[in-house]
Amino acid sequence: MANCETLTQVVLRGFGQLLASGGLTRQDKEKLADGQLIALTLSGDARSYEVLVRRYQKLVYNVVYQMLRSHEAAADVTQETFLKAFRSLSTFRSECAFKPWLLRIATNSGLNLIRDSKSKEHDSLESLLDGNPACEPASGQNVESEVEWSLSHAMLGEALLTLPPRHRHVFLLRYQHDLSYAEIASVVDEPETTIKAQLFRIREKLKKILAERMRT
Amino acid sequence: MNDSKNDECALFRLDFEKRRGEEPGPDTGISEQGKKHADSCVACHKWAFEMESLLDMSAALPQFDVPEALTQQILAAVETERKMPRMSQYPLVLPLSIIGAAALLTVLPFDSLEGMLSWGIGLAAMVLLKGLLSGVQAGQQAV
Repeated sequence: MANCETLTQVVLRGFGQLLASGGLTRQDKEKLADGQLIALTLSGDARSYEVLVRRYQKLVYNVVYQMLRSHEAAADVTQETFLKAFRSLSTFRSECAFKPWLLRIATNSGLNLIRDSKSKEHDSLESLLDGNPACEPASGQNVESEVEWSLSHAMLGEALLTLPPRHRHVFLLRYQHDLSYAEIASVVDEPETTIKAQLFRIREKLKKILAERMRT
Repeated sequence: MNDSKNDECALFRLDFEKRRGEEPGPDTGISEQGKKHADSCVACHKWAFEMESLLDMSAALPQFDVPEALTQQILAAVETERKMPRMSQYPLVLPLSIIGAAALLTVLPFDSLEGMLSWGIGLAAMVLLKGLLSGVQAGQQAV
């Protein structure tokens, strides 16, 4: 904790920024870093939290949707996530990144909901994947095999649904939402080495599932 | 010969892993050495193609926009939370109420007028405490 700023320091910094910011518009605030917005929020500026909500709501919503496969549940959990984050903002360590911290809250809330209600898949995958063209082959070599591998998104979605929710979550955090191994490790509370190994296995498994589906 | 070929395949795949597996951000493309190997090795070419397709498609999976109504709902809930009284804002209320009630109930005997009065005040303090606690709880449930 030696390198951590104390809550008092964060709040004092926030006060300083609040005084200095004077009449900062929302556009100005949108340019501020997460840490600055958090400090402003802690010092009583509610508008700064709105900027954080708008910055991350799409990410949180889509991550949660992929876990729960229900828009209604995703909306509830997104709201719950931002509320929990707001309540716990004073415990947030300013040297840590806000995004993985927020996604960790979202992940835990999503997992709790799955545990509680054994959430069923309300929405069909097709609705999620409508309107996405199949992937084109990358080069002209071995064309037959490449055409076979021109996978539709629907097929990928179906393959993803065969994975355990936790694996699907990790895979999509990395490859859909472009989080680093370190960020994912922080979100799911596992060591980076475990994430690396998991992702390697998930990729190979998905590839195998897709290849099998292509054959049938 | 086979060993050297396997080494090249392993190196190619390792290179791919590093490029697409570890660091987020823009794809830097296959190295010249990797391209040469993939051109001459059907297995690696197929493997890389399949992997590229899988990862590219994952990155291109559709994402939903959040409706403004949900944003407003979140912001309203946060605002309610912000305005809600919290027990932490009154750190002395709870211990003082307990101590006060306990003292009034135990110190004076019940068989005198002062004693009965102290019991009345003690009970009133407990009712007040209960109301305070249930008010905070109701506020939390409303959010």
